[in-house]
Amino acid sequence: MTPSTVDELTVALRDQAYLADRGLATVLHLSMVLGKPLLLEGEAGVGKTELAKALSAITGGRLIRLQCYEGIDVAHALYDWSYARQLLYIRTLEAGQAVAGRETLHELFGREFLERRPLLDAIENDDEQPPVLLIDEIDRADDEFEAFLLELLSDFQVTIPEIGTIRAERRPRVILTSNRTRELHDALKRRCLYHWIGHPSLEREIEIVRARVPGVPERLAAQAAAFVQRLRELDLAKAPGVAETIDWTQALLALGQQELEAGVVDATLGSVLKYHEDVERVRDAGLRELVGEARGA
Amino acid sequence: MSTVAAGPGDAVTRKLVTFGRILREAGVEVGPGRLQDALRGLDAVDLADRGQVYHALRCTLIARHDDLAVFDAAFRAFWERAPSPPGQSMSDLGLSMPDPARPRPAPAHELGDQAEEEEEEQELHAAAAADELLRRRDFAHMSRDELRRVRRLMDELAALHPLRLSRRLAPAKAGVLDQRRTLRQAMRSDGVPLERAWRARKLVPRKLVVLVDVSGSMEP
Repeated sequence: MTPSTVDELTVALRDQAYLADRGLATVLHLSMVLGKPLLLEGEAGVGKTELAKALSAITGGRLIRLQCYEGIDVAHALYDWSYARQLLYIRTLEAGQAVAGRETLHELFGREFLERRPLLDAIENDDEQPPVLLIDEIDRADDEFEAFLLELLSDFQVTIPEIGTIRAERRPRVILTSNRTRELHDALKRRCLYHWIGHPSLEREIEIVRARVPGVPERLAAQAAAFVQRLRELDLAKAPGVAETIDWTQALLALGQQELEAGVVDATLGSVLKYHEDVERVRDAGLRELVGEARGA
Repeated sequence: MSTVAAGPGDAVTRKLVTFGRILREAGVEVGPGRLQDALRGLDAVDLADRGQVYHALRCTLIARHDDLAVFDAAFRAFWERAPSPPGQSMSDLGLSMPDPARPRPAPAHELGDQAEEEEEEQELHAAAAADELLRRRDFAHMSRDELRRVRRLMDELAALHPLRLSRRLAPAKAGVLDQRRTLRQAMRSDGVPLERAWRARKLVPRKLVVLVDVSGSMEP
């Protein structure tokens, strides 16, 4: 069942243990109603990728994920010809003494020898529910690939020279994420709805931790969230996201902690901070005081 | 907001166009396509809900994180004023400036800019002086905080590292034919070179030799 209002969508996301604020829920709702791709930007670990997973679970649409990287090209993202099978086919024909003609050539570049990659899979689908296409970390891909995506995102169609233009009968729901390591092209952004996900407020972060870490003591969730919020105020190379808060709380829970203790915090700091300098910075800022503040909060 | 909800669709359109013009004047690129999206967006949300209206406009009109602050200020000034009396012309709405009593109105901000700038400059001077001091300090006597600052300065230096073209060739998208790799790939397709591979000279950091004279014996 696909939610039809912002409130229904918020509740449905909550059922998937994804706590979306009003803004995100509104924008996601709009993206579904208008049939436009949703471009999510924000720091790492604020739940951009998770949203696509939650959406897929809500709508029952298959999640198709395309992880972008430097140098990704059409052969990796859209389709490739299966050369091995084509050669095998030619050999078989040769063994049967068949004469290769126009027909054969046509056959050779038919759908049977097409290796489908995520984008083609999303465009040409037979699913009952439209699939959710997640184009993850688009900022890692090159300019050319971004340009290639334009046709796909505005018309939901792709062109394969040997076959022709393939149009999506059921438009996939598209979510793009970017960590903003570079500014994306305006042409791409114009085809998307844009939303910036920031770090959540303290209350929301506590809620998120409690939803994501089942069985966590209320006090531990509140203190861990307060501690991480305090860390974000320090001048760190890489501020921890909600994902780190969740990981860390899980670690603390696994260690049988009921609330924050300076010793254990110091030992587990590595699951919150991913740079040695940041760990040192926090230790210098006075770990004991930070923990004390978080416990008092 | 009540004027929007009560007015005919045409009024919303005109108000939105005016809002787009305000944003453009503030330096945000808002084309007609975006406005169209915003209008469709407003259709799909609950107009009585401030949050939904705000985000419907924001996600359709804005595409850069840096523009969010401008949008927020414009939204507050334009859509959240007290409901205007009927009969007020649209141009009045468009040209009206935000209420000076509001916490962050645009004109007051401009006035504050100069003072802020001066403050910033002073801070910069202080930072520069501190960095200057670091230059003359012995590593052994630096505090942890100073060491960290030095490390940051060194990172800045490293970022300035000049590059040069290497004489060696590395795999690339275009360049000269990479025979070895082409043949190896051809083996997979029974000796037919379906895909050719290329090599090109790569960019490598220029070599930089840093002499650190600790004892001072190399001083001229």
